[in-house]
Amino acid sequence: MERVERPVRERILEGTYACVARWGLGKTTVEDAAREAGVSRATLYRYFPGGRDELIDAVVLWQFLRFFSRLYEELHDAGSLPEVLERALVFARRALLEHEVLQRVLATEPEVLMPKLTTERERLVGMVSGFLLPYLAHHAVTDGVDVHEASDYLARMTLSLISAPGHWDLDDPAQVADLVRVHMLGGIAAS
Amino acid sequence: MEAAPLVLVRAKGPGGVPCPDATAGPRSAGSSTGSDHRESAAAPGSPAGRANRYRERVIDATLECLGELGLAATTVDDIARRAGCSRATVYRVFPGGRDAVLAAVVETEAARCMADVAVRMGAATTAQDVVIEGVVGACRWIAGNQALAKIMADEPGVVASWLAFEREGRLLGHAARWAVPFLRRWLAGRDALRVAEWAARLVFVYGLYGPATHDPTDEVWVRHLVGTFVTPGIEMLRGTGDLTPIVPGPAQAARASDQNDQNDQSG
Repeated sequence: MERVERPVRERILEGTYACVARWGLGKTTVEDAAREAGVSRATLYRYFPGGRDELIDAVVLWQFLRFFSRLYEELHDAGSLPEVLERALVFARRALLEHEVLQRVLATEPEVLMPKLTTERERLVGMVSGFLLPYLAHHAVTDGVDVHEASDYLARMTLSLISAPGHWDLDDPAQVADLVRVHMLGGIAAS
Repeated sequence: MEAAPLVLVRAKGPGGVPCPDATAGPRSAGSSTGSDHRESAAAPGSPAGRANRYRERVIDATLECLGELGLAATTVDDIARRAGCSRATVYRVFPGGRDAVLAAVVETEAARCMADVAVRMGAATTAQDVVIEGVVGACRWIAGNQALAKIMADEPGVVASWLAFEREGRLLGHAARWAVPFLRRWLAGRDALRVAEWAARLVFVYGLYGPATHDPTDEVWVRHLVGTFVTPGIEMLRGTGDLTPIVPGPAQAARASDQNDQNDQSG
Protein backbone atom coordinates (compact mmCIF):
# COMPACT_ATOMS: atom_id res chain seq x y z
CA MET A 1 0.00 0.00 0.00
CA GLU A 2 2.64 2.47 1.11
CA ARG A 3 4.83 1.65 -1.88
CA VAL A 4 2.01 2.27 -4.28
CA GLU A 5 0.82 5.47 -2.64
CA ARG A 6 4.09 7.25 -2.20
CA PRO A 7 4.90 7.90 -5.86
CA VAL A 8 1.47 9.45 -6.43
CA ARG A 9 1.95 11.84 -3.52
CA GLU A 10 5.42 12.65 -4.79
CA ARG A 11 4.06 13.21 -8.28
CA ILE A 12 1.42 15.59 -6.97
CA LEU A 13 4.02 17.53 -5.03
CA GLU A 14 6.31 17.73 -8.05
CA GLY A 15 3.43 18.85 -10.23
CA THR A 16 2.40 21.50 -7.73
CA TYR A 17 5.97 22.73 -7.44
CA ALA A 18 6.20 23.01 -11.23
CA CYS A 19 3.02 25.11 -11.20
CA VAL A 20 4.37 27.35 -8.46
CA ALA A 21 7.60 27.77 -10.40
CA ARG A 22 5.63 28.82 -13.47
CA TRP A 23 2.78 30.87 -12.05
CA GLY A 24 3.63 31.64 -8.45
CA LEU A 25 2.00 30.55 -5.20
CA GLY A 26 -1.11 32.68 -5.41
CA LYS A 27 -2.16 31.61 -8.89
CA THR A 28 -1.57 27.88 -8.53
CA THR A 29 -4.89 26.04 -8.35
CA VAL A 30 -5.74 22.47 -7.42
CA GLU A 31 -6.80 21.89 -11.04
CA ASP A 32 -3.42 23.07 -12.37
CA ALA A 33 -1.55 20.86 -9.91
CA ALA A 34 -3.67 17.82 -10.71
CA ARG A 35 -3.26 18.32 -14.46
CA GLU A 36 0.49 18.82 -14.13
CA ALA A 37 0.79 15.67 -11.99
CA GLY A 38 -1.42 13.67 -14.35
CA VAL A 39 -3.97 12.75 -11.68
CA SER A 40 -7.63 13.56 -11.28
CA ARG A 41 -8.93 16.25 -8.96
CA ALA A 42 -10.55 13.52 -6.87
CA THR A 43 -7.23 11.71 -6.47
CA LEU A 44 -5.51 14.91 -5.43
CA TYR A 45 -8.16 15.57 -2.78
CA ARG A 46 -7.76 12.01 -1.54
CA TYR A 47 -4.11 12.75 -0.77
CA PHE A 48 -4.66 16.33 0.31
CA PRO A 49 -8.16 16.56 1.78
CA GLY A 50 -7.46 20.13 2.89
CA GLY A 51 -7.18 21.15 -0.76
CA ARG A 52 -5.06 24.01 -1.94
CA ASP A 53 -3.83 25.23 1.46
CA GLU A 54 -2.74 21.78 2.54
CA LEU A 55 -1.11 21.21 -0.83
CA ILE A 56 0.91 24.43 -0.69
CA ASP A 57 1.98 23.72 2.90
CA ALA A 58 3.04 20.23 1.84
CA VAL A 59 5.10 21.60 -1.04
CA VAL A 60 6.93 24.02 1.27
CA LEU A 61 7.67 21.20 3.71
CA TRP A 62 8.69 18.89 0.88
CA GLN A 63 11.19 21.49 -0.34
CA PHE A 64 12.62 21.77 3.19
CA LEU A 65 13.06 18.00 3.36
CA ARG A 66 14.75 17.90 -0.04
CA PHE A 67 17.07 20.64 1.14
CA PHE A 68 17.99 18.65 4.24
CA SER A 69 18.74 15.51 2.27
CA ARG A 70 21.10 17.56 0.09
CA LEU A 71 22.64 19.03 3.24
CA TYR A 72 23.23 15.56 4.69
CA GLU A 73 24.92 14.55 1.43
CA GLU A 74 27.05 17.67 1.44
CA LEU A 75 28.20 17.22 5.04
CA HIS A 76 28.56 13.47 5.31
CA ASP A 77 32.38 13.67 5.38
CA ALA A 78 32.71 16.69 7.68
CA GLY A 79 35.13 15.77 10.43
CA SER A 80 34.51 18.24 13.24
CA LEU A 81 31.69 20.28 14.71
CA PRO A 82 33.16 23.61 13.51
CA GLU A 83 33.56 22.15 10.04
CA VAL A 84 29.93 20.97 10.03
CA LEU A 85 28.67 24.43 10.94
CA GLU A 86 30.98 26.28 8.57
CA ARG A 87 30.06 24.12 5.61
CA ALA A 88 26.37 24.06 6.55
CA LEU A 89 26.21 27.88 6.72
CA VAL A 90 27.93 28.36 3.39
CA PHE A 91 25.97 25.60 1.66
CA ALA A 92 22.60 26.70 3.03
CA ARG A 93 23.14 30.37 2.24
CA ARG A 94 24.08 29.52 -1.35
CA ALA A 95 21.18 27.11 -1.68
CA LEU A 96 18.82 29.84 -0.52
CA LEU A 97 20.21 32.46 -2.88
CA GLU A 98 20.30 30.04 -5.80
CA HIS A 99 16.80 28.69 -5.22
CA GLU A 100 15.16 30.46 -8.14
CA VAL A 101 11.59 29.60 -7.27
CA LEU A 102 12.00 30.65 -3.64
CA GLN A 103 13.65 33.91 -4.63
CA ARG A 104 10.96 34.70 -7.17
CA VAL A 105 8.16 33.97 -4.73
CA LEU A 106 9.91 36.04 -2.05
CA ALA A 107 10.24 38.92 -4.47
CA THR A 108 6.75 38.81 -5.94
CA GLU A 109 4.50 37.22 -3.31
CA PRO A 110 6.14 37.68 0.11
CA GLU A 111 2.72 38.16 1.69
CA VAL A 112 1.73 34.64 0.59
CA LEU A 113 4.92 32.80 1.48
CA MET A 114 5.98 34.58 4.67
CA PRO A 115 3.07 33.50 6.88
CA LYS A 116 3.81 29.91 5.87
CA LEU A 117 7.48 30.26 6.72
CA THR A 118 6.48 31.82 10.03
CA THR A 119 4.17 28.98 10.98
CA GLU A 120 6.79 26.47 9.82
CA ARG A 121 9.54 28.19 11.77
CA GLU A 122 9.39 25.99 14.86
CA ARG A 123 9.28 22.86 12.74
CA LEU A 124 12.29 24.12 10.82
CA VAL A 125 14.17 24.86 14.05
CA GLY A 126 13.40 21.30 15.13
CA MET A 127 14.78 19.90 11.89
CA VAL A 128 18.03 21.88 12.07
CA SER A 129 18.38 21.10 15.75
CA GLY A 130 17.82 17.40 15.09
CA PHE A 131 20.39 17.60 12.33
CA LEU A 132 23.01 19.13 14.64
CA LEU A 133 22.33 17.02 17.71
CA PRO A 134 24.29 13.92 16.66
CA TYR A 135 27.31 16.07 15.82
CA LEU A 136 27.12 17.68 19.26
CA ALA A 137 26.76 14.29 20.89
CA HIS A 138 29.83 12.98 19.07
CA HIS A 139 32.09 15.94 19.64
CA ALA A 140 33.35 17.10 22.98
CA VAL A 141 31.23 19.91 24.38
CA THR A 142 32.12 22.24 27.22
CA ASP A 143 31.35 20.83 30.66
CA GLY A 144 27.88 21.65 31.88
CA VAL A 145 26.46 22.43 28.43
CA ASP A 146 23.19 20.64 27.71
CA VAL A 147 23.45 19.29 24.15
CA HIS A 148 19.72 19.68 23.51
CA GLU A 149 19.76 23.28 24.62
CA ALA A 150 22.92 23.87 22.60
CA SER A 151 21.51 22.32 19.42
CA ASP A 152 18.33 24.39 19.76
CA TYR A 153 20.37 27.57 20.19
CA LEU A 154 22.64 26.71 17.26
CA ALA A 155 19.64 25.87 15.08
CA ARG A 156 17.97 29.23 15.76
CA MET A 157 21.15 31.21 15.19
CA THR A 158 22.00 29.20 12.06
CA LEU A 159 18.58 29.88 10.54
CA SER A 160 18.91 33.55 11.39
CA LEU A 161 22.36 33.73 9.79
CA ILE A 162 21.23 31.93 6.67
CA SER A 163 18.24 34.18 6.08
CA ALA A 164 20.01 37.37 7.18
CA PRO A 165 23.83 37.24 7.39
CA GLY A 166 23.95 40.91 8.43
CA HIS A 167 27.56 42.05 8.63
CA TRP A 168 28.92 38.57 8.04
CA ASP A 169 30.22 37.73 4.59
CA LEU A 170 29.50 34.02 4.32
CA ASP A 171 31.60 33.85 1.14
CA ASP A 172 34.71 34.70 3.16
CA PRO A 173 36.07 31.50 4.76
CA ALA A 174 38.05 33.45 7.38
CA GLN A 175 34.92 35.27 8.56
CA VAL A 176 32.89 32.08 8.61
CA ALA A 177 35.60 30.41 10.70
CA ASP A 178 35.54 33.32 13.19
CA LEU A 179 31.77 33.32 13.29
CA VAL A 180 31.60 29.61 14.09
CA ARG A 181 34.53 29.42 16.48
CA VAL A 182 33.81 32.53 18.54
CA HIS A 183 30.13 33.37 18.28
CA MET A 184 28.42 30.06 17.65
CA LEU A 185 30.63 27.58 19.45
CA GLY A 186 32.46 29.84 21.93
CA GLY A 187 30.43 28.45 24.81
CA ILE A 188 29.77 25.02 23.35
CA ALA A 189 32.99 23.49 22.03
CA ALA A 190 36.44 24.15 23.37
CA SER A 191 38.60 24.80 20.32
CA MET B 1 15.17 45.56 17.23
CA GLU B 2 14.11 49.07 18.09
CA ALA B 3 13.63 49.76 14.43
CA ALA B 4 11.51 46.73 13.77
CA PRO B 5 8.13 48.26 13.10
CA LEU B 6 9.75 51.02 11.10
CA VAL B 7 9.76 48.88 7.99
CA LEU B 8 6.22 47.80 8.57
CA VAL B 9 4.78 51.14 7.87
CA ARG B 10 7.43 52.47 5.59
CA ALA B 11 6.68 49.51 3.40
CA LYS B 12 5.07 51.67 0.77
CA GLY B 13 7.60 54.43 0.99
CA PRO B 14 10.44 54.82 -1.46
CA GLY B 15 13.87 53.42 -0.77
CA GLY B 16 14.93 51.20 2.03
CA VAL B 17 14.51 51.13 5.72
CA PRO B 18 15.02 54.40 7.50
CA CYS B 19 17.77 54.12 10.03
CA PRO B 20 16.93 55.05 13.61
CA ASP B 21 19.88 57.38 13.74
CA ALA B 22 22.68 54.90 13.36
CA THR B 23 25.21 57.36 14.68
CA ALA B 24 23.32 57.95 17.91
CA GLY B 25 25.16 56.54 20.86
CA PRO B 26 24.28 56.26 24.49
CA ARG B 27 24.28 59.99 24.94
CA SER B 28 21.71 60.90 22.34
CA ALA B 29 19.71 57.71 22.50
CA GLY B 30 17.41 58.88 25.25
CA SER B 31 16.43 62.09 23.54
CA SER B 32 13.55 62.39 21.15
CA THR B 33 13.73 62.98 17.42
CA GLY B 34 14.86 66.21 15.87
CA SER B 35 11.42 67.28 14.78
CA ASP B 36 10.07 66.72 18.28
CA HIS B 37 12.77 69.00 19.55
CA ARG B 38 11.77 71.74 17.20
CA GLU B 39 8.12 71.45 17.99
CA SER B 40 8.44 71.15 21.71
CA ALA B 41 10.52 74.31 21.68
CA ALA B 42 7.50 76.21 20.38
CA ALA B 43 5.32 78.10 22.81
CA PRO B 44 2.24 76.11 23.87
CA GLY B 45 -0.22 78.66 22.46
CA SER B 46 1.52 79.10 19.11
CA PRO B 47 0.38 77.27 15.98
CA ALA B 48 3.45 75.02 16.19
CA GLY B 49 2.62 74.24 19.80
CA ARG B 50 -0.92 73.23 18.85
CA ALA B 51 0.39 71.09 16.01
CA ASN B 52 2.75 69.40 18.46
CA ARG B 53 -0.10 68.70 20.88
CA TYR B 54 -2.17 67.19 18.08
CA ARG B 55 0.85 65.28 16.85
CA GLU B 56 1.14 63.43 20.15
CA ARG B 57 -2.60 62.84 20.36
CA VAL B 58 -2.72 61.47 16.82
CA ILE B 59 0.28 59.23 17.44
CA ASP B 60 -1.17 57.83 20.66
CA ALA B 61 -4.58 57.36 19.03
CA THR B 62 -2.96 55.50 16.13
CA LEU B 63 -1.16 53.18 18.51
CA GLU B 64 -4.45 52.37 20.21
CA CYS B 65 -6.15 51.75 16.87
CA LEU B 66 -3.35 49.47 15.72
CA GLY B 67 -3.55 47.53 18.97
CA GLU B 68 -7.28 46.99 18.54
CA LEU B 69 -7.85 46.88 14.79
CA GLY B 70 -4.51 45.87 13.34
CA LEU B 71 -2.63 47.57 10.54
CA ALA B 72 -4.81 47.02 7.48
CA ALA B 73 -8.05 48.04 9.18
CA THR B 74 -6.78 51.26 10.75
CA THR B 75 -7.96 54.26 8.72
CA VAL B 76 -7.42 57.98 9.09
CA ASP B 77 -11.08 58.22 10.15
CA ASP B 78 -10.47 55.76 12.99
CA ILE B 79 -7.42 57.70 14.05
CA ALA B 80 -9.20 61.07 13.94
CA ARG B 81 -12.18 59.73 15.90
CA ARG B 82 -9.90 58.22 18.53
CA ALA B 83 -7.83 61.39 18.77
CA GLY B 84 -10.97 63.51 19.08
CA CYS B 85 -10.12 65.69 16.13
CA SER B 86 -11.18 66.04 12.51
CA ARG B 87 -9.68 64.30 9.51
CA ALA B 88 -8.55 67.73 8.35
CA THR B 89 -6.52 68.17 11.53
CA VAL B 90 -4.81 64.84 11.03
CA TYR B 91 -3.90 65.88 7.48
CA ARG B 92 -2.76 69.32 8.64
CA VAL B 93 -0.37 67.79 11.20
CA PHE B 94 0.61 64.95 8.88
CA PRO B 95 0.27 66.16 5.27
CA GLY B 96 1.38 62.72 4.07
CA GLY B 97 -1.79 61.17 5.56
CA ARG B 98 -1.97 57.60 6.83
CA ASP B 99 1.52 56.59 5.75
CA ALA B 100 3.03 59.66 7.40
CA VAL B 101 1.12 59.01 10.62
CA LEU B 102 2.27 55.39 10.68
CA ALA B 103 5.86 56.43 10.00
CA ALA B 104 5.68 58.89 12.89
CA VAL B 105 4.26 56.19 15.15
CA VAL B 106 7.12 53.89 14.31
CA GLU B 107 9.69 56.63 14.85
CA THR B 108 8.18 57.51 18.20
CA GLU B 109 7.97 53.90 19.29
CA ALA B 110 11.51 53.21 18.09
CA ALA B 111 12.74 56.18 20.11
CA ARG B 112 10.86 54.93 23.18
CA CYS B 113 12.33 51.47 22.80
CA MET B 114 15.84 52.81 22.26
CA ALA B 115 15.50 55.05 25.29
CA ASP B 116 14.41 52.11 27.47
CA VAL B 117 17.16 49.87 26.19
CA ALA B 118 19.81 52.60 26.31
CA VAL B 119 19.14 53.25 30.00
CA ARG B 120 19.55 49.55 30.76
CA MET B 121 22.65 49.05 28.63
CA GLY B 122 24.26 52.28 29.79
CA ALA B 123 24.08 51.11 33.40
CA ALA B 124 25.77 47.77 32.66
CA THR B 125 29.23 47.22 34.10
CA THR B 126 30.40 44.30 31.96
CA ALA B 127 30.15 43.51 28.26
CA GLN B 128 28.03 40.49 29.17
CA ASP B 129 25.59 42.71 31.04
CA VAL B 130 25.34 45.08 28.07
CA VAL B 131 24.17 42.13 25.98
CA ILE B 132 21.81 40.83 28.67
CA GLU B 133 20.27 44.23 29.37
CA GLY B 134 19.93 44.96 25.66
CA VAL B 135 18.19 41.65 24.97
CA VAL B 136 15.90 41.80 27.99
CA GLY B 137 15.06 45.47 27.40
CA ALA B 138 14.25 45.00 23.72
CA CYS B 139 12.31 41.78 24.30
CA ARG B 140 10.25 43.41 27.05
CA TRP B 141 9.50 46.31 24.76
CA ILE B 142 8.38 43.89 22.04
CA ALA B 143 6.27 41.86 24.48
CA GLY B 144 4.63 44.99 25.86
CA ASN B 145 3.82 46.58 22.52
CA GLN B 146 0.15 45.88 21.90
CA ALA B 147 0.14 47.28 18.40
CA LEU B 148 3.00 45.03 17.36
CA ALA B 149 1.43 42.03 19.11
CA LYS B 150 -1.88 42.59 17.35
CA ILE B 151 -0.27 42.89 13.94
CA MET B 152 1.96 39.86 14.51
CA ALA B 153 -0.99 37.77 15.62
CA ASP B 154 -3.50 38.77 12.94
CA GLU B 155 -1.30 39.87 10.06
CA PRO B 156 1.82 37.72 10.41
CA GLY B 157 2.62 38.06 6.73
CA VAL B 158 2.98 41.83 7.08
CA VAL B 159 5.50 41.58 9.88
CA ALA B 160 7.31 38.58 8.45
CA SER B 161 7.65 39.97 4.95
CA TRP B 162 9.22 43.12 6.33
CA LEU B 163 11.32 41.49 9.04
CA ALA B 164 12.98 38.68 7.18
CA PHE B 165 15.81 38.03 4.77
CA GLU B 166 17.44 41.19 3.38
CA ARG B 167 15.29 43.46 5.51
CA GLU B 168 16.08 41.50 8.64
CA GLY B 169 19.74 41.85 7.71
CA ARG B 170 19.47 45.62 7.34
CA LEU B 171 17.62 45.97 10.63
CA LEU B 172 20.21 43.85 12.37
CA GLY B 173 22.82 46.18 10.92
CA HIS B 174 21.06 49.31 12.17
CA ALA B 175 20.51 47.85 15.61
CA ALA B 176 24.10 46.65 15.82
CA ARG B 177 25.61 49.99 14.79
CA TRP B 178 23.36 51.75 17.28
CA ALA B 179 24.43 49.41 20.10
CA VAL B 180 28.16 49.45 19.34
CA PRO B 181 29.01 52.47 21.54
CA PHE B 182 27.69 50.60 24.57
CA LEU B 183 30.25 47.85 24.01
CA ARG B 184 33.23 49.99 23.04
CA ARG B 185 34.55 50.05 26.59
CA TRP B 186 35.21 46.34 26.38
CA LEU B 187 35.60 45.52 22.71
CA ALA B 188 37.44 47.04 19.76
CA GLY B 189 35.57 48.26 16.68
CA ARG B 190 34.93 45.17 14.57
CA ASP B 191 34.48 42.89 17.56
CA ALA B 192 32.06 45.34 19.20
CA LEU B 193 30.01 45.39 15.99
CA ARG B 194 29.94 41.60 15.81
CA VAL B 195 28.86 41.18 19.43
CA ALA B 196 26.28 43.96 19.07
CA GLU B 197 24.86 42.25 16.02
CA TRP B 198 24.80 38.92 17.81
CA ALA B 199 22.80 40.53 20.61
CA ALA B 200 20.38 42.03 18.07
CA ARG B 201 20.06 38.59 16.50
CA LEU B 202 19.12 37.14 19.89
CA VAL B 203 16.31 39.68 20.09
CA PHE B 204 15.01 38.62 16.67
CA VAL B 205 15.44 34.92 17.35
CA TYR B 206 13.95 34.84 20.85
CA GLY B 207 12.00 38.08 21.21
CA LEU B 208 10.23 38.24 17.89
CA TYR B 209 10.06 34.67 16.63
CA GLY B 210 10.81 32.92 19.88
CA PRO B 211 9.33 29.61 20.99
CA ALA B 212 6.71 29.51 23.70
CA THR B 213 9.07 27.46 25.85
CA HIS B 214 11.48 30.34 26.51
CA ASP B 215 10.67 33.69 28.05
CA PRO B 216 13.09 36.28 26.67
CA THR B 217 11.70 38.91 29.04
CA ASP B 218 12.86 36.83 32.02
CA GLU B 219 16.22 38.22 33.00
CA VAL B 220 17.25 35.00 34.77
CA TRP B 221 16.72 32.96 31.62
CA VAL B 222 18.45 35.50 29.38
CA ARG B 223 21.37 35.62 31.80
CA HIS B 224 21.65 31.86 31.56
CA LEU B 225 21.44 31.94 27.75
CA VAL B 226 23.98 34.72 27.32
CA GLY B 227 26.26 33.40 30.04
CA THR B 228 26.30 29.94 28.48
CA PHE B 229 26.52 30.75 24.80
CA VAL B 230 27.63 34.35 24.29
CA THR B 231 29.97 35.35 27.11
CA PRO B 232 32.62 32.72 26.28
CA GLY B 233 32.84 34.22 22.79
CA ILE B 234 33.25 37.72 24.24
CA GLU B 235 36.02 36.37 26.46
CA MET B 236 37.73 34.86 23.42
CA LEU B 237 37.58 38.22 21.65
CA ARG B 238 38.99 39.94 24.70
CA GLY B 239 41.66 37.30 24.74
CA THR B 240 42.03 37.50 28.48
CA GLY B 241 38.96 35.95 30.00
CA ASP B 242 38.47 38.99 32.20
CA LEU B 243 35.77 41.44 31.27
CA THR B 244 37.19 44.62 32.74
CA PRO B 245 36.87 47.61 30.44
CA ILE B 246 39.61 48.55 27.96
CA VAL B 247 38.46 52.15 27.97
CA PRO B 248 37.88 53.19 31.55
CA GLY B 249 34.45 54.50 32.48
CA PRO B 250 34.28 57.22 35.14
CA ALA B 251 34.45 54.76 38.06
CA GLN B 252 37.28 52.79 36.54
CA ALA B 253 39.15 55.96 35.62
CA ALA B 254 38.96 57.11 39.25
CA ARG B 255 40.21 53.73 40.45
CA ALA B 256 43.01 53.75 37.87
CA SER B 257 44.15 57.20 38.95
CA ASP B 258 44.11 56.03 42.59
CA GLN B 259 46.34 53.17 41.56
CA ASN B 260 48.62 55.53 39.68
CA ASP B 261 48.87 57.70 42.78
CA GLN B 262 49.81 54.66 44.81
CA ASN B 263 52.33 53.64 42.17
CA ASP B 264 53.79 57.13 42.26
CA GLN B 265 54.08 56.98 46.02
CA SER B 266 55.62 53.54 46.04
CA GLY B 267 57.91 54.45 43.10
